Amino acid sequence: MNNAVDEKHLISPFLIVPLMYVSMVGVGVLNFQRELAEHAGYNAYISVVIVGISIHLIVWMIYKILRSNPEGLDITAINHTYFGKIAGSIINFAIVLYFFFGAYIEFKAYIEVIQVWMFPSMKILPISTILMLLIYYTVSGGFRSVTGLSFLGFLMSLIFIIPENLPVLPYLHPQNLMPLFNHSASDILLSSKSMIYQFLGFEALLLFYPFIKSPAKSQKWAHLMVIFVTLLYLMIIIITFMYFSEGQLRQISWPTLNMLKIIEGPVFQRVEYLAISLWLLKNLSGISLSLWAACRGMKNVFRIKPRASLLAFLVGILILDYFLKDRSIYRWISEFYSDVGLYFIYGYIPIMFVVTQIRKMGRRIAIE
Amino acid sequence: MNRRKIFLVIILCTVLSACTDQKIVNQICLVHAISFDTVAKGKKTAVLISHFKEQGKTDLEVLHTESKSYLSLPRLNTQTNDPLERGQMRMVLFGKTSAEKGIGTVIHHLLRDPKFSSRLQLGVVERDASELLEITTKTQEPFFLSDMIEQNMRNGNLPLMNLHVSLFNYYGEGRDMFLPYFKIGREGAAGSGGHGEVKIDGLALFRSDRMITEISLKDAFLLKMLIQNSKNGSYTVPLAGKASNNTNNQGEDFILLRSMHSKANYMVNNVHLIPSISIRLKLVTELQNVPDWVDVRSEEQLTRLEKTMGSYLKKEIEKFLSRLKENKVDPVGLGDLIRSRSKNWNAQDFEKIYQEIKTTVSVQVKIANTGSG
Repeated sequence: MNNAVDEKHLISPFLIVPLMYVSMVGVGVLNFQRELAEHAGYNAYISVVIVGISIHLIVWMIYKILRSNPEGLDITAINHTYFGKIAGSIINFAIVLYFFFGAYIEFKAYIEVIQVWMFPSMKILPISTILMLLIYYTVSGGFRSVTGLSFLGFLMSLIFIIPENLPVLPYLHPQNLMPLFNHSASDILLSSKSMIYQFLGFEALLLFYPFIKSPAKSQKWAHLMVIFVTLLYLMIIIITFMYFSEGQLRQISWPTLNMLKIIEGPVFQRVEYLAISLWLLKNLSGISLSLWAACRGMKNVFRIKPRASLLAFLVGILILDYFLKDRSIYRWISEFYSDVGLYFIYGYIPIMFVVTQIRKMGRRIAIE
Repeated sequence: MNRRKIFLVIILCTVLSACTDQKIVNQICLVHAISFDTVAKGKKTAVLISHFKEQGKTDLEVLHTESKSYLSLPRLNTQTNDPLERGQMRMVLFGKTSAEKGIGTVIHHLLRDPKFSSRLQLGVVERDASELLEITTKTQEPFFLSDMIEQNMRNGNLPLMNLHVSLFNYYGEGRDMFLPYFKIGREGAAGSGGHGEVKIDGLALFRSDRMITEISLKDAFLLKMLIQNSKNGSYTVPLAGKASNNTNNQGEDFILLRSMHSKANYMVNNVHLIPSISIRLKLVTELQNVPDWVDVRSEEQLTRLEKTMGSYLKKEIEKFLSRLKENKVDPVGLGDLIRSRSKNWNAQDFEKIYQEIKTTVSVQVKIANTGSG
């Protein structure tokens, strides 16, 4: 139903690195520690490892699914061929909505950080509109400009995430991590569930796969990024656990930013303001990627021009942002999103994997 | 080309949008220190603010207010022409009486508000905390008190402390908070020039949010040794036995040692019932002062000195620990230590057995340097 992507829109396999990074590291990196520690306490770092390993499996499955169709099409086309026109379209539309809400949640979470940490009394609508314009500019520039912004976001966030951990070293208490195993396996799995939410977003790979030049080569980079991001989360969580006592962590909403408060430079006495500002780039690239995926889906399913659907999505985010003042509704949406994401990753993808593999085997037998 | 212009405009808009909520330093009033006291009618809050007149010259001023609750910063705004800003606050002081009544609300507020730096210093004042602020105005240095504490952590007997460490100890289970303890000298001491009258006199020990007791700077060194590297702390060890031959310096028989490095090792035995902890301390010192009858060039005498110092420190630390147990305070974090070694631990159970825990101490002193004498 859709042609292969034009050569000039393709990206080289290596550039999947920033894309995977911005999709897996969201605003959640600023505050995931507390929720993670809720169930498994200070054993929760095990959850990070478990989730990291499972994501590897999912990424491997995604590549298998996408490689099963020889034309190199994305997931929307695969849905069409397997589920028929109507059911396929419904599933595709659900995927589009999923990415749209992913973008909205990411956006809202960032605005919340700005409000609490930087400008408590700032009006939300003007700043949101300006950010929306920036996102419009990026996404309408096509997949390559999304990749470009992601690359910047990737560099910017690495600039502060890794060095921020050095000045806290004198305050670390390795004793906090002991005893090593004092929570049950079910607690650790419950914590894993909240960790999955942090990784959500990498499913955009299902849609941008056809945009990678020689996609098979990108798989090793994808896996490398999963390892890298897992290690990044692991490093942050372990340092957080050693830095805060458990009772203290329970009281803190943004542990990563709180850790930055201990850093004092000669010019900057408070680094967290700088960090939040730098984080903007990373965050915009994450939102752009999700919205791009949503637009691409719309184009494939309903043949709507990406620009038109992009405008609709951006206005949609603004409206949601402006009218949903109630935090409990936002909470509910993000919880719903993470539940859907859980089923999407661990339900839908494995099912598709099995279906495509059976089909492939069937085809092979038929040929023989 | 057109696209690029649009992009530029958007970027500039993004930058400009940060210009809401402006805080220009000339149009705000920076609060450098705040103090909380309990008075008969309620609670007294005082803040130390500065007026920047010209380069290098600051006028400090103290504002007071009394109300039913702490944290009446908004109420203090009625006394200034510019809004009070708490982002540069470096020192929070509590009067002893208010510290004894509990400072949990203030601590919680310091945790909640993102404006406060983690490097903020907390302290307890023997008398009225606002009085201490008044004294600092004379120094013309807004950060006098916090610099004093930081200086003493680096070069003296105080262990590493700041808001983060205090919150860690306060909210952490199995450990208790400790804060520097200020003493104000005699008022109007002749020719004291204004600032000689404030001194850090040790540490105030807390149980939960209430101050229980205070310890001297000498004991603060012992605490520092137990929880971290005690580098640069100093300690005096009396040297008994041989009376001084030289009658000129009677009663001067002590060793002044300066710690160059120390490390504490904890071993926990019998976790299940009543745990016992053995603490092994290694201390590398430099002798600052020794009585004149000690020959620092003789190896034999030095080893004897090392032994004497070791056994004296051991005795003092044991005394110190039993004093902590008596007061049911745990600044060392023994509870947390046992938590980390046992599968099931809870704070309430530990509190009951805290006083029965056996601690054995052994101290190994090594003299690395004897000075030039």
